[in-house]
Amino acid sequence: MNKTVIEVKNLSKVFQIKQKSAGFFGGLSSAFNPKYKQVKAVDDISFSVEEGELLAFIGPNGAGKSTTIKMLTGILFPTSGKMKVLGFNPSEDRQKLAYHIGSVFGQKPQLWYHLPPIDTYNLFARIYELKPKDYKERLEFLVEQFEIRDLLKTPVRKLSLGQRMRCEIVASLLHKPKIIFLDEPTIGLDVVAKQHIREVIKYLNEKEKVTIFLTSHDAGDIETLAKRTVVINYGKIIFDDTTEKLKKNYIKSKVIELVTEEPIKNFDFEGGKIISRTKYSLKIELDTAKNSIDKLLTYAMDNFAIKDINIFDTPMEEIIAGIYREQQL
Amino acid sequence: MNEVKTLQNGSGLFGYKFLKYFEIAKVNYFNSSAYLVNLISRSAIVVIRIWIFTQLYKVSYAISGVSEIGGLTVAMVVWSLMMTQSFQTATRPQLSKIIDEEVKSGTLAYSVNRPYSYILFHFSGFIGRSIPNLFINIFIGSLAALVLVGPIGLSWEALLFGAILLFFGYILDFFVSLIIGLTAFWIEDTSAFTWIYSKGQLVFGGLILPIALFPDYLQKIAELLPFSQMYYGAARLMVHFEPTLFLKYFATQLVWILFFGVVAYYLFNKGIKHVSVNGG
Amino acid sequence: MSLSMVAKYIFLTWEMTKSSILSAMEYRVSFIVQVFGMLVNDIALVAIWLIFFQKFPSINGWQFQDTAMLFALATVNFAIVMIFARGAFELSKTIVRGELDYYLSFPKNVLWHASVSKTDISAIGDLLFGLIIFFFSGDISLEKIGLFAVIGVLTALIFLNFIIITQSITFYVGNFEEAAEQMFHALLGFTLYPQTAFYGALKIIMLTIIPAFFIATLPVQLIQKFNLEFFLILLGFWILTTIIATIIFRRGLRRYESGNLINVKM
Repeated sequence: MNKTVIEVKNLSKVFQIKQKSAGFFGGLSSAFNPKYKQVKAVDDISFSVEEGELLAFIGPNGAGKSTTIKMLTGILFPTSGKMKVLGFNPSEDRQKLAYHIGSVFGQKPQLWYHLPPIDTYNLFARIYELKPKDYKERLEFLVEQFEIRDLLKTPVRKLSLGQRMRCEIVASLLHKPKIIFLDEPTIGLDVVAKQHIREVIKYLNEKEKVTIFLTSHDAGDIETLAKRTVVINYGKIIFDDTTEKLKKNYIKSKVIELVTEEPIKNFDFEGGKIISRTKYSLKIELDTAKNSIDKLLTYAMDNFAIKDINIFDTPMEEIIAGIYREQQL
Repeated sequence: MNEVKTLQNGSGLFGYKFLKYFEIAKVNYFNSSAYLVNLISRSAIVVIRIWIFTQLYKVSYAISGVSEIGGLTVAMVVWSLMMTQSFQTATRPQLSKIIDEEVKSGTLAYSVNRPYSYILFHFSGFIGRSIPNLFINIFIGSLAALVLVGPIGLSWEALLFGAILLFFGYILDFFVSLIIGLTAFWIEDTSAFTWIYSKGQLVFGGLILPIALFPDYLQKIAELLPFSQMYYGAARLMVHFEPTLFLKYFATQLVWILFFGVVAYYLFNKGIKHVSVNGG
Repeated sequence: MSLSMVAKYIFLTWEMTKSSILSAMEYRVSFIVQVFGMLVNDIALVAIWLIFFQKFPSINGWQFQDTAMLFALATVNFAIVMIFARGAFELSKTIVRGELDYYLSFPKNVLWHASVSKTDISAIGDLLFGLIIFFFSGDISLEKIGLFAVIGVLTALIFLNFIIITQSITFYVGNFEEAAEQMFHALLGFTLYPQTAFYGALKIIMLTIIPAFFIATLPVQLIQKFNLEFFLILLGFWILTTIIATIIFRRGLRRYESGNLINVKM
């Protein structure tokens, strides 16, 4: 029986947004007689996470994702409800908890831009008070696993985005955290780099039993990595189940764009509906229940002179709309 | 016939453009009126500064045992300092920084075809931003000066001719700041130039020590430098009008304005070419 | 706070600052321009007083030498703060942009971390200037140098507290950036005047709201002529300002974490 590392009960967060009137006198009146608007960013959510889980936490922008994560890491105080992370109350023991959690925010780097990663790692070792021997061992292990030995002494600004991401993740792992919050780890990366990062994350989770809390807009990340998906919208959890179920019920189609050297004459593939075409390209909506992408790609490669292929995931809005539709039935 | 038509179109176009620049100045005006808290703290600083000047010069004059130095009494010194400070600080945020950013971001290079309209655009902005700050500074500063040193005789000629010097002083400040901002085409960080410029204004612009109180040899040099001709000249004339002084200062201003105006125009064109040769 | 913790933080501060400086050195030209630009800047500032004292040689006993000592002390303690804790000066910006979140995710004191993460390279120019002009402030003895070092650090800490207090007001009032920066410049500027010229209500203001007495007058006196009583007063003032700064920041941080700032980032 795995132990629970995150426990959330009836968690809510209400923001008071000051209403500012325009102009000089408006500014004057709002200074002396402020009007507030209440915004419920997180509305009575409950869930728990067990040790070693890799769960995806998704939702549209403004749904309450980052607010929830901020509360779990102790950065934001909840308005009501209870939380326990690794036995700590994040709001009260933020600093103590910080020794055991790590975070990687795709948009906010931790590595010093002009210095080589090793300098930031050394700094972190001091900040997290790692014993020199432990640090050396740990670093060696991570460098090996993430294949960043050649990147250690290169200034971060000279690294590619994919290389930087790998180094960022290593930075968040130096202190052997038990939970990692990954926010948009593959953003801006090309297909190959994305794959590499996903492998690395999977490895972390399987080998080290690190609990991973993943937020991403990339459905590919979610499908490949997370066994469980939690969907949040307007501050409420509207789906908390296996990713399989999410895929089966709501991610029903994928759009594939084929770009060819010669004009496409006849396209006939079971489950594939042509939604747009030009002389040298074709956009197909594939019903994933009827057929698989692999088979479509094989069909395309066998029959046409393919120059480029683009695969588009079902947008988040459609997934959520699907969930709502089902809930109303 | 054709010539008449072009002339008419020309003046109409210019009139429209001027209106456009006026609207821009208005926008800048309301933008700078937005923060109440900033206003209050700014005013507090103005008052304390004038208070410091009052005590400093009262004590200094008393120790020297004189009531007038360089033609200025303590009251005149305080009023002139209040004015130079008001005039100069009204120009924040610094134009050189704004121009620097426009150069770096490429706004200047890619959206501007003629230097004349760009320069006029920024001049309207410069004046537009300065006017509300100027009035607030003068209003509060005058109140403080009245309370602390009492009124000084301000004749209408002093104010009128002083205002002329002030207007041209702003043009001069504008050109120099523009030039500093334009060096961003070639230099990574222009802040060092901005420091040196503002220190030049501090030392030779009569912001803390009126030039009339400088030792003679230094006074002569200072009055020829552009720094004294931006705000000090106007302030000095306003507190104690002297026709010959006006002519001297005005002539010096015009020479510097011509000089910097030409440099600005030249740098501007060179900068645009530099970008089109080297890319963004 | 144990002694070993303090030692750890001091060591970490040094490491952070070193990283910042190494980082900035990647741009050699800019680095040098900033240092020398500031040096020139400071020389101009003292030049004004050089000219002033030619006309008015002594203000109630205060001469150019005293202004030189004042400048030496002020620039050195300003430099110490700006080199090791520049982040404190930008707290207002950091708070408004929600960037405190980054520092909150670490197991270290947030105020400390936010402060030491940035370094002002031009402050190195200030440091150089301060050390140079120290030698124009009268007779130099070994004792005086030692005093200068100790009191320089002490006043730097007091100055730091004031920066923290004024920047932390943003937690309560919101967009305070411009006002805080102006207050700071005014504060710094006013301390550089011959303090012996002030009397009455202004003197009291300088003493309390604008702590010119504690950052300027008193330290300068102490260095020129040491007095144990005055030294203890300075020490006491440091303790007082530290307590106030800590309280204001802590309370403000709680407000921030409650998401009750006027400009909250969701």
